[in-house]
Amino acid sequence: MLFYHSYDPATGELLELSVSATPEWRALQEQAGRTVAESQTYATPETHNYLGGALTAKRAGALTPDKTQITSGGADQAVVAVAVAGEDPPASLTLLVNGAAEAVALTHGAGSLAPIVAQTPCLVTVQVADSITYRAEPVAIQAV
Amino acid sequence: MPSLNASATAQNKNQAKVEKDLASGKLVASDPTSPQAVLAALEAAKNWDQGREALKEIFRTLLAD
Repeated sequence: MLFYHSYDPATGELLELSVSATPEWRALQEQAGRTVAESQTYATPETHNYLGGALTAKRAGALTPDKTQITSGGADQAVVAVAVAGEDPPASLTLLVNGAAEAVALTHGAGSLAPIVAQTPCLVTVQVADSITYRAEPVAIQAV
Repeated sequence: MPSLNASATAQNKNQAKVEKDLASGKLVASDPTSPQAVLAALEAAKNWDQGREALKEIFRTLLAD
């Protein structure tokens, strides 16, 4: 079966997957400045990218908090472990903590984010900043 | 206009600020519209004018959207 992908040629981000490519669909993609590619691989924006112009599986990463709920007040804390699978892992990975960028140093693909504490009840979400290259489920820590 | 409760809930979910505490190396999250933060701001006020400004800032944030 043939699939049709549209991607941003500037960033390599896979944007759409279609099982048919009507002239109207192709025209819409071109108007949006996207490149259309054909592939026999089922790929979604969550799993693949077009970095370098070729369909590539995103690098798998994992964010693992030691707890998903902490007590506010500044004493309790949560630590998020970071792991990047595969050969030649990066020396660091940038995460977004409620939108704030925080670099995590990695040793052999593993590291941990600075401890998270909360002064007040709130929700803290942690996700990978470069979501085009990496695939990792975001995590949420609720401060109560 | 959304209710204060609804806005406060939305703020609580989406707009908690996170800053790095350089001394401890920890990431400190806080919601400036939470009751604790409101009380802390009012307690920190040294006079009526400062308290009024703190309240105005809190309501500005709450009603921002």
